[in-house]
Amino acid sequence: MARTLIVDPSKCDGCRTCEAACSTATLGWCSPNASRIKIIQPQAAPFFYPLVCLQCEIPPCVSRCPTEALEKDHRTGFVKLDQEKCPGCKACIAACDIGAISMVDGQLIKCDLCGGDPVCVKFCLTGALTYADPEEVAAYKRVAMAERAMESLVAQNGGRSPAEGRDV
Amino acid sequence: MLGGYMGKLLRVDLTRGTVRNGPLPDETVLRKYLGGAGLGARILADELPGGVHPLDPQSLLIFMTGPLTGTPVPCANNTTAVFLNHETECTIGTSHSHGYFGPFLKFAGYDGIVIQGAANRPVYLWVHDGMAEIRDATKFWGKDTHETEDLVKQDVGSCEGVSVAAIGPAGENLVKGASVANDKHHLFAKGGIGGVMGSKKLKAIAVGGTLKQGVRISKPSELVATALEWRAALFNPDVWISYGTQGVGVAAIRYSPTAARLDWVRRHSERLMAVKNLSDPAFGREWARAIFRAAMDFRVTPVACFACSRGCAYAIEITSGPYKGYVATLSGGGELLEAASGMVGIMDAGATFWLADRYDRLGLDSGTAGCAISLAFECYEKGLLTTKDTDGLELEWGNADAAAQLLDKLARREGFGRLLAEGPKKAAELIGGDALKYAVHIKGAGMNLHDWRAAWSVLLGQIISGCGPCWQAPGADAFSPEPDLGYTELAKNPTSPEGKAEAVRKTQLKKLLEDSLGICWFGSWGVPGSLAYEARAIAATVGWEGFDADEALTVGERVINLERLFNMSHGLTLETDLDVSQRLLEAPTTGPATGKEFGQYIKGMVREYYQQMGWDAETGRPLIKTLKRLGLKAC
Repeated sequence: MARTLIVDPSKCDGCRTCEAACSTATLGWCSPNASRIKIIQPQAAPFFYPLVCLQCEIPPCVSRCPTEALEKDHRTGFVKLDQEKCPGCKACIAACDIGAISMVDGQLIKCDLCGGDPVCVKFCLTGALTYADPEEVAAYKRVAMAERAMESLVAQNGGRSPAEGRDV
Repeated sequence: MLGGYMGKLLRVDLTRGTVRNGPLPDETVLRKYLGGAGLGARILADELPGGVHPLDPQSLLIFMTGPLTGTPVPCANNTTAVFLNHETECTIGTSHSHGYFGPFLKFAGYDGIVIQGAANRPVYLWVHDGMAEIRDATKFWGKDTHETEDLVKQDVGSCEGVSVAAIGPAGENLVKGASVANDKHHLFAKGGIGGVMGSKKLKAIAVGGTLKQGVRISKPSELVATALEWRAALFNPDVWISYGTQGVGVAAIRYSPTAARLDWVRRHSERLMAVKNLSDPAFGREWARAIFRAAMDFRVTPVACFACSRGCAYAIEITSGPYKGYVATLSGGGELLEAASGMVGIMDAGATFWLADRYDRLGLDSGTAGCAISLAFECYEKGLLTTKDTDGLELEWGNADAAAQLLDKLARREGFGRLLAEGPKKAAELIGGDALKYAVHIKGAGMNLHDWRAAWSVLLGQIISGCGPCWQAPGADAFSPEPDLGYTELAKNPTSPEGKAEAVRKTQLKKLLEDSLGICWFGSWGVPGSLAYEARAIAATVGWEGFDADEALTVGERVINLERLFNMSHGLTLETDLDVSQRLLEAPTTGPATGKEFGQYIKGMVREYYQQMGWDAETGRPLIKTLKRLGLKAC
């Protein structure tokens, strides 16, 4: 499966370096307002949510786009916005449930994973942002879970696996 | 059009009640001074009229970002305040803070704010989206800095982002060593900036708004590449661990240093703890272990500044004792904890963090106020003061309640606090007897509070610093060496005079460059290659071809010389540079510097520093050929 941006909000400390790096790399201006990833602090408490396009499998922005400026590339997983085809009708902003598309200086912008080498991930200090194949991440977690279970059961069974020496 | 700069200064006249947008100086000036301390000093030197006292209405208060503030480089979040120093009264004052104030000021469209005059009633400034308003602050007067921040944010209404810098009761009462607090964790601390702001009846400055304005980057991919290399150099464990674990080791929690490294930091730091008015350095280790061991049970949350690569600031919830449940919001570092607690012999961890936060809330710098309070405690312990003098307070080492009450009195100039509000030297003169022998001060003000008698280049740096005692010349004896300047490890001889003037001079050049870039020092201190990264970052951000490390260091040297000229025109002499208290000059009787007497060598080291700087060895006046090389005119 293609790699994608994996967000862990519990690790985000709101430093906004991702916003600084994204806007600089994509627009040549450092401006959190003009970034394709946005750090949202919903209340005056230390919780920060990195809000970014999730590259949906069935993107509502793509189905709503009247000029086919938005397209899902199923090989890479990116939902790309072709500026040449985009008249700025903003239907996609209305379509996206999480607010991942925004408008800067009359132009619509959204995350396209920097074509496969996302710059925000490189700047993220805490590991709140990673770029990985979700299937690989899940597989790794399964092995880790099985190992934890094994440790616990073996310890309870006097140092031996409970499956050993069973009369089947 | 230049990258990095917004091209606008906000000009505020509080006497007339007007605000207007003004231009930055032209490009040749910007290339010579960059921003922050450098550009601030240039503007102050050019515009401050003669014969002005720091608290006069004509006194200028400048808040200046740098071209790298609000960019993706490590720790791109500095604002430097520049003004006439209220504590020394004969030098420039520079004060740094971080958090979000600087970046949000730029995203509001401004490189800096220049404030003159004084309002006739309390006001605050609201700077947003390319414009500014002067608003009534009468209802906030008297409130502490953190309450003020919350109330001002409510007053300006909900927006994309707001950062507030505010004075507390100490600044309102024109106390020596008053500071300006922002973003709950950070402080413009040194130089008595709080009193300057208080004399203008300026309670707070709020910056931000829609944050729609951006910092233009001349060569974006070059800057991104430089920033990534710089960050990689920062995460070399030998680099960050040298100082990243100050305070309660919040950075350590995040980056898992080796046990050996953590141990080195602990042993190194324990040598330098400032305790009991510097009367008993050996107590430093006992104090540090008691406090930091207990703090491990408190609940710590790291807090980041804009583009922060360090995470030194933190919130800490006290989980036991009389202050249980209180959450202190602090910046990284040991100084404020030593000042609030160690210097008066307090052994309770909860009281330590509560008191440190109290300093922030009252708007007081830990250095100056801390030294005044610890002086009072030592005078009481030695019988120079009795409860008749101290409004009934029993100033015994470890009495946290008394320290807290005394701190409040100092901030409000009440009772015995009125005396201490004048700073440690003046307070000692007023107390009389042997008090001047106990006082800890440099040029009448408090210094960054560690016991530098065990690290002579740092002490010398605090002494010759052009903005009053502060970190302007870090030396090479403590926390982190500077590989870019040839110091690959800490000096082996911290308590002898050899090589100290040179270490001070070299590190001062780099530091003043960094103070003019608009970045937090913790992104550069001791980072190998940082000088080259800084120069590349300026070239890529602003668009100046050929701006290299040599040109960058020359900026640092130029600013030091400009400050020297400014100071001498305000009365600074060799005698002022030698105005260091006896306690700092005499040999300690316990601890790692036992028997080492700094006072024997101070004159020689200062003269050596003058000579190496290209200044007259007797007077410290910059020689004409030095000024010519740097493109400066003698005042």
